[in-house]
Amino acid sequence: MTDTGWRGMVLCLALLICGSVGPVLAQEGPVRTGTLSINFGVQTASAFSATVPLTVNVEQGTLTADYEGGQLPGVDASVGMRVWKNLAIGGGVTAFRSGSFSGKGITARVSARIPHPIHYDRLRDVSGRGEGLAQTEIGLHLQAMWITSIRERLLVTVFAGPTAFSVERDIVIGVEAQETYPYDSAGFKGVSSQRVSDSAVGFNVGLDLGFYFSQHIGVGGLLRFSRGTVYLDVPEGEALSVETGGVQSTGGLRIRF
Amino acid sequence: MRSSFGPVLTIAFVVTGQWVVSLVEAQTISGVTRVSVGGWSDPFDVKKADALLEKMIDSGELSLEATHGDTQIPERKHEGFVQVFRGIPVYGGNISRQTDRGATVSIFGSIYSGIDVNPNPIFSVSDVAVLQSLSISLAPRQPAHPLKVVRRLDGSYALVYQLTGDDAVSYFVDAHQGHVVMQVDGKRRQSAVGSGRGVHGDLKKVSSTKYSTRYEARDQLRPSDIVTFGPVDTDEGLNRLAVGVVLPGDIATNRDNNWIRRGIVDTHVHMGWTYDYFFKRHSWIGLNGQNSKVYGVRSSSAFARNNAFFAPPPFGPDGQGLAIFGTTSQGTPITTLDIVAHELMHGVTEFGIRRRNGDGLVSTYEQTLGPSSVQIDGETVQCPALVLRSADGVGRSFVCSDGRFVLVSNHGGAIGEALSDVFGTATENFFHPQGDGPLTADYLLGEDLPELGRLSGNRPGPTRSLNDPASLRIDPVGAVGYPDHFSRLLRFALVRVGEGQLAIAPVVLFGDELFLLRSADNGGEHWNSTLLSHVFYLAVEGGRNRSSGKHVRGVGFMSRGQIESAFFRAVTELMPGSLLLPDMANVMRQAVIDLFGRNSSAGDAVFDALEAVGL
Repeated sequence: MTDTGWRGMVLCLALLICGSVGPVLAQEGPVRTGTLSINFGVQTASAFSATVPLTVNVEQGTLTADYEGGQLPGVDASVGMRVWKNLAIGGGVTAFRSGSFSGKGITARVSARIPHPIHYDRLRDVSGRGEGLAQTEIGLHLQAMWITSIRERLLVTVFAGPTAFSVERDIVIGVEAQETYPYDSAGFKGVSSQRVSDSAVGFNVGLDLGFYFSQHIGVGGLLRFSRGTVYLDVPEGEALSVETGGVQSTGGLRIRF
Repeated sequence: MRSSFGPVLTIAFVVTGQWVVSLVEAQTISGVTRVSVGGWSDPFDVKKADALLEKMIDSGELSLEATHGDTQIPERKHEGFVQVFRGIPVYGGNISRQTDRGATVSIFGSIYSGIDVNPNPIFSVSDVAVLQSLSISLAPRQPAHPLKVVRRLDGSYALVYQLTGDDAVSYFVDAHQGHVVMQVDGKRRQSAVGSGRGVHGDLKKVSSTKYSTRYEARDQLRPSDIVTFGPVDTDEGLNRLAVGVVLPGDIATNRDNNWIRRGIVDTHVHMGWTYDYFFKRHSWIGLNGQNSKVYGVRSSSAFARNNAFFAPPPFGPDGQGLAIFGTTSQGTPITTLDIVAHELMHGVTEFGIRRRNGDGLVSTYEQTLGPSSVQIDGETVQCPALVLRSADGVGRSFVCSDGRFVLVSNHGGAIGEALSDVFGTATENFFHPQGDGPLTADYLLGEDLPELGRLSGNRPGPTRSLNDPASLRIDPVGAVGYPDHFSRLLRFALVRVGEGQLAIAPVVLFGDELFLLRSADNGGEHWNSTLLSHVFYLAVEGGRNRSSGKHVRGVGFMSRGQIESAFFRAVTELMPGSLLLPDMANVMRQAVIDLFGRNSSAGDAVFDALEAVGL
């Protein structure tokens, strides 16, 4: 995704939040002007496997890392502005990051074939786990929203639209080996990683349920699925194609106005 | 060809440093007692030899020089004794005894008898005037105890100082008369004569060390530093390194670690691989077993032309020896893996034996009496009437005893060369796949540098063959092949080359047939080496000895490590510093018994192989 595209989406979202888009309508729908939600929760992360070249001792070996999936904790802030009856447009910002709460990062199971320091064509197999790998994913979602109330206090919103992703994550690019003369075998000592980033445009669809205690304040839950593909550059190899997004399950404060 | 003085042979008779010279007339060949008992012997003989040994220790004729534990069999211990005559060590007189929890297992060695020299020197070791008159320039490091009794080629004895020249030659200077009694070229050579072929373009990893903006050929990946100097283009530079004087620019360097000098790459990498072979196969670290630094130099100097050799301690940086790898006449570096391993094995042999005997492996000459006459041009010529005429036109008479030719053969040198060929080949087989082409493993030495060796018809070929020694010629004429049976041992005639001085002539006698060779090879040390190295081949691969016709069942290629271990044990644990080929055969028998037992496939292979070659 280009910077221009990102800037455009940010501008649109800012205008929505400021309430300067769309007329102020008489309340003919479930909300008068719009909704605002702030949520905390998790997003599923896709497991993936990546093989990168490993040049050690003037020879190329291989390194394969199987990154675990799981759930990334994060936060979501969304806004919707009614434009006609039940129809609203809006957007949201999500930020999910491995280790935000637990302090742990992503774990990758690593297997590598490390070149011998003395001989060519005598690759040595090592395997282990790389832990504490960071993964941060920011999503900027533009949404067309259909808002309806099932009961007086229960507001249901379905939405869909494009998502701009910005992904930053640690990729394992090397293996630290435990080796001693004559170096015919090697043990796993650790990994070296590099933080890489990319952005991309994808989509999102979802459902929001809001239960209001009063005219304006309530609580609710949001279920959003987003998907995009980023390309992460690694040294010496082709960029890694990694799917981003996932199923977000969050809950939090609801405000309607 | 005849002259008024008798038959004269006109040959290209070039005097080189490889000659062993003596300054006295031939005398009666005195006795040498060779002790060789072990696991294959009658136990009574072992007890008898042990009792004799103890008696000599008690009488002060033998002195314990060193003791070391066995690196392969924990309960075993090895003692090295040196023969002493009135408090003075006898060069080459030494005994190695193996014990198992106090009980004697084997004894090998040589004791000289009939020593009748005055033990009181007239000249001192530091008598500069004497040294100057002899034009000897001493190396910085000298033997700690230079005064020795030495046995000359003709079997007589002299009191000498053993001095090391900066030309890597050991000079034995008579302590009574101040002249050189004997000189031994300390350089263990891989000699070569030949035509050209290029170095192969195989890609290797070079273990180097980065210093500021350059990389040095200093391997620090291995537990011991392995350092490659060069290229050294001058004899002066080579001599300086040989005596241990290293200048900052001597070590091979490269700017970007992408090494382009193929000779440097092969030297450095192959020294590292050889270190690896000794470690992986024999748990032996470095040349001395104690991780001393390993030094090698690539040289295109005149002295290193068609030559590679090992200068043993006290030569080389740190006095730890120096391997020199020269260049063929066609400009090809003499740095193939088997040759590099061959030279470094000389270091292992030297250090391995010095664990028990401070002199290391010495040239041990067997003197025998040949025929009284030879056939030349269909005529019978008696020994005293034969004259050898060299290129300088000087005629030299042959040494005769009781009218018979006195013949000598350097067994000690041949054993050293054989061991180096065995482990040069073993190292090659450890790293290269078996095959016939370049960079493949076989039982040939120097096959990737065919300009060095000779096939029949003077065609280029390997330097030596362990599987079929007689298939290669030792001289361009091609009349004499490498021996594959002890009955074909090359024995060289002695000639008088100066006032009372003797030299080994490049003349070999088989029966009453006489053959002129291109050199004397220091008594045939390279040429006769195939007798023992052929044993290695037969014990591994099996086969039929061409001369004896005897078949040997080898242990097979996959089990070759057993035979290699037996040979290695012989060097590092059992061998005395002075021995003949039959003694070495017994050392081999003991080594294989120690490791695998007599009734094992390895035991059978070694015993049968020794028998097949007449040892």
